[in-house]
Amino acid sequence: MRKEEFLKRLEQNLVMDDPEKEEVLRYYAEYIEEAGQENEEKVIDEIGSPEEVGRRLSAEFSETEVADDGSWTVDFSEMIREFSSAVEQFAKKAWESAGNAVNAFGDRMEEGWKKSEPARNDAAADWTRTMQEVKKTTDKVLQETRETAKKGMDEARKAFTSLKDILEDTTVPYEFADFDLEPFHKVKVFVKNCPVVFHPAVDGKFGADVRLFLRREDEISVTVENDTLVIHSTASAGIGRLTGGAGGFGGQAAEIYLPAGVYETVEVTTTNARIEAAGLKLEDAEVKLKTGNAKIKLVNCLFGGSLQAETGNAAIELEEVSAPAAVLYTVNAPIHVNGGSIAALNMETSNGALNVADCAVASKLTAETANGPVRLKLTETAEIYRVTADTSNSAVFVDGRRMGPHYEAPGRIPVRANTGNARIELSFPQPEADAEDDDTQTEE
Amino acid sequence: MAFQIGSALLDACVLAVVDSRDVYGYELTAQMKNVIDVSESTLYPVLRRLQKEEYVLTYDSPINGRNRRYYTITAAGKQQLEIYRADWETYRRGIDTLMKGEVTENA
Repeated sequence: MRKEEFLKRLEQNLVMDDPEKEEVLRYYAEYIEEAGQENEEKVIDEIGSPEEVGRRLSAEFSETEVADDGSWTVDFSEMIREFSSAVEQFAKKAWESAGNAVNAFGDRMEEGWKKSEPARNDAAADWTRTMQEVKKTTDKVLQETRETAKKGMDEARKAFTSLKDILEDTTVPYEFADFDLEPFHKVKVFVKNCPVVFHPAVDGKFGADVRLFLRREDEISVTVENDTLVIHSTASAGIGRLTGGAGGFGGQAAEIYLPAGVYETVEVTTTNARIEAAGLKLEDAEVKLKTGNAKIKLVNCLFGGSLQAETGNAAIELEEVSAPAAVLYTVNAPIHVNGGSIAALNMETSNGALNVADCAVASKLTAETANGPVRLKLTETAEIYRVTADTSNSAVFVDGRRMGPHYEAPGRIPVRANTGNARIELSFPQPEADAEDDDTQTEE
Repeated sequence: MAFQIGSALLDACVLAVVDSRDVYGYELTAQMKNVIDVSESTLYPVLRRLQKEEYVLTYDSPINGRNRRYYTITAAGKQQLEIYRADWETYRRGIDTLMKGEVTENA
C-alpha cells in the first residue's frame, strides 16, 4: 500500500475534529516520509491497517465511544444544544424584525388613516347628501303614491258604492236616471272578455242591467262624459247577467237597454267576447262593433246610420237588419246576412263562406273571400244587377247553371263577388209571368 | 513481552527522551522501539497528550524541501519528568523487592 492510499483510508476512519484530524494525517505523512521512499511499503505494513489505527486514534481523541467491533456512537447533544441555541437566536431576531415590521406597518397605516381623514370626511358628507337626496325623492314618490292610492281608493269606494246600489236588485232593469247619470247621446262600451248584449228599452224605460263578477284586480266604470255613456271594464268575465239557464261565466253578459232614436253613435269593443243585439232600433245611430275572436250577432235591428262589424276568427250573423250601409269584416269565418235591407253591403273574409239571402240591396253589394264559397240569393230579378263574379279554381253558377270562372252581367245595381278556390252561386227570384221576355234574356 | 506499559509510564519515557534532546516523530519511535515493543500509533497519542498538557512544544524545521516537526520539552515538562522519575524509583524498588524475594514479614 502506498502512502496516499494509507492516508486516505486513515482519514476515512478518523472520527474527531478537523484540526485534530489534520494533526494526525500530518504526523503519519511525515512518519512515512522519514522512513524513506524505499521503505514506504514496509513502514506502512508496520504501522498496521489504517482502519485499525484510525479507530484507535479516534478512541483517543474524540468523545465518541468506539465499541470493540469498531462501531461508534456519536453524542450529538452538544451539537443539538448549539443548534437549538442558534435557532432560538435566529427565531428571536426574526420575531423582533417581524415585530418591527408590524409596528412600522401599523405606523404607516395610522399615518395613512390620518392623511385620508379629509377625503373620508368629504366622502361621508357626499354620502350623507346623496342619502338625503334619495330620502327626499323617496318621500316624494311615497307621498305621490299615497295620494294616488288614496285617490284610487276613493274612486274605487265611490264606484263600489254605486255598483253596490246596482247589485241590490238585478231582476229589474234600471233606468239610467237611477244611476244619477247625465243625459247622453253616444254610447261607448269597452269590456275585455265579457259579452255585450243590447236590448231595446222596455215600456219606455232604458238602462243597463249590469252585474259584476269582479276579481280583485278588475275594475269597472259606468260614467257619462262628453255626452257619452261610457261603460268600461277590464274584467275578464265581469259585467254580466246570468241569462236564463245558461249558467256559469259563459252565460254572463253586459245587458244594455237602449231606447230608440236617441243616439248618434254606439261603439262596442271587446277583446274576445261576443257582441249581440236583438230588436234594437237606433234610428240615428252609427254603430261600430269590434271584437277579437267571437261572434257578432244582430237580430231584428234597425240602424239609422252605417254599421261596422269586425271580428277575427268568428262568424258575423245579421238577421233582419236594416241599415243604410254595412261593412262586415272577419278573417277565418263565414258571414251570413239573412233578410233585412242594407243599401250598401260590403262583406269580406279570407277563409270563410259569404252568404246573403233575401237581403234587399239597393245600391251596392261586394262579397270578397279567398277560400270560401259565395252564395248570393238576391231579392230582385237578375236584370237589375250589374254582376261581376270571379273565381280562380272553380266556377260561377247562376240559378244553378255553370257559367265558368268569370261571369258578367249588365244592370243598375253593382254586385261584385270574388273568391279563390270555391264556387260562386248567384240566384234571383223567378220573374212574374208578365216579365217573361226579360227573364229569358237574363237566364242566358 | 508479558508486561504492558501503562500510559503514565509511556508519558514518562517519552518526556525523558525529549528531555535529552529535541526529536521528531519517526526518530522518537525508532528510539523507543529499540527498548520496548511499542507502535507509532501508540506513541502519537502520547505526544499529542503531552502537547496538550504543555509538557512539550513542537516546531518545524525545513529539510529536503519539506518540514520536519520536532518535539521539545518545556519547563513544566521537566518538572513533571522529575515527578515521574521519583515515582518510578519508588515503584521500581518496590517491584524489585518483590521480584528478588527480599520481602520480610516486618516490611
